[in-house]
Amino acid sequence: MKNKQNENLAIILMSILSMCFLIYIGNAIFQGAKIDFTQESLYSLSSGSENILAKLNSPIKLKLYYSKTAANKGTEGLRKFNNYLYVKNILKEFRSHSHNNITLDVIDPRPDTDEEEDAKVYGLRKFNLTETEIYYFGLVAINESGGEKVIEFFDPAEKENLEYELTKLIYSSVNPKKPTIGVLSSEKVLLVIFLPIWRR
Amino acid sequence: MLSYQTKVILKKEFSSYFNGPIGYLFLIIFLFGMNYLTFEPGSGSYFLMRQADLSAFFNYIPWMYLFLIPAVSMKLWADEKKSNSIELLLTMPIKVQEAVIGKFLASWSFVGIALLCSFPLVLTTLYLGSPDIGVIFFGYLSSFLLAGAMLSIGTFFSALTKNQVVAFILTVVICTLFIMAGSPPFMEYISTFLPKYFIDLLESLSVLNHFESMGRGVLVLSDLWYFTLLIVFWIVVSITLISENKA
Repeated sequence: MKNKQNENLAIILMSILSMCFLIYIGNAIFQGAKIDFTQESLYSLSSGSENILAKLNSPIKLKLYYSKTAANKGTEGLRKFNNYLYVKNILKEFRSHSHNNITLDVIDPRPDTDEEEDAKVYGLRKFNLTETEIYYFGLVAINESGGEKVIEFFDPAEKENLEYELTKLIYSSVNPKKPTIGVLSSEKVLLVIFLPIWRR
Repeated sequence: MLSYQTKVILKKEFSSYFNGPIGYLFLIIFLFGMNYLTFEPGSGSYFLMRQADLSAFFNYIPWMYLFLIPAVSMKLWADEKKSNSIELLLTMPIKVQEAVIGKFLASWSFVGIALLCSFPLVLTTLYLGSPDIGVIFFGYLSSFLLAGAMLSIGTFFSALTKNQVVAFILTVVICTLFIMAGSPPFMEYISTFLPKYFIDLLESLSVLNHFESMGRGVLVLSDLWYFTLLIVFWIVVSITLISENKA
């Protein structure tokens, strides 16, 4: 009788483990297979964005700064209408179309931490909720050579333009625009190579 | 598709909900509670959202289920075992799997009816604005699948014990684990000492993640896979358990 019970227990434990494993595997495999049933195809990217993402050939690091803790202490309106989940879902969608070129970090910058320092340096727009809590909700894209492009703040009213903004951000950080430089001088400038060090 | 025996069990079990007060009590508490939580003037209230959707309703579904689903499933087998009518049932010309599936489907369709009874909310939303029908449909579908998953867990624990209260408590605990598996505070805590693939594993096991992902109106195959696997697995384990005990 005792033996039989142990056997049953073993069967149940084994099947729990195999269930976890199968779910995990299935999750990894079937993640990409999806159909968007929303009226405006809210969670799908347009073909233009997909083309740009398909042509990506260098890694981009996306850092989403969202002060989750601060938002939870903030007003009802702030929590409900900040579009955070939507932005995050769309960013995940970008990531899944990018052939592993895009990595996404979601960062909750707490006051007086390195993350908050970074957010300040990137120039994200900040909102003082209380004396200590500061609310950030912006995105930084860092390309292979360390160039940074920033969306200072995701305005909840601009939900329709979100995909465009993001695609523009990614496109411009992979294809940085070379600034056009003109030199005006009475000298024959092209004979002199102008290095910044000489200015000291 | 279903065998004759399964249908008989399904019918008998389904009508048993309405023979006593349990079914009506469940319907009243579920509908009253859900509507209260939806319109309640607090966090995430229906009117405060100022959006023609039912997210205020669906957000509370898992938490409402947590206490009501185990109440539906606890008597499925524990009752039969306590009154020893299980012996009688299993001597009938009926297979164990037919009995388990029939009982499970009966409880599932009962919860399905409870969900359907919340249709006035849909009508209200249709009257107030022009909601996205696709999103509402998938909200209901994911709620229904979530009910199935939790009921199958409940079936297992009901088959495990004679005592309905024990079945209830165990089901609540396991369902809480499945719901809490992906919640941010919990994940943050365990990510401090566990490796990343383990975190991913836990996250993929979380009911809430799949429920929300399906409820936003996007059909992802991994969500369907998750719910199907969960239901099938717990039902198969219940069948094994009951046929082992019978022998």
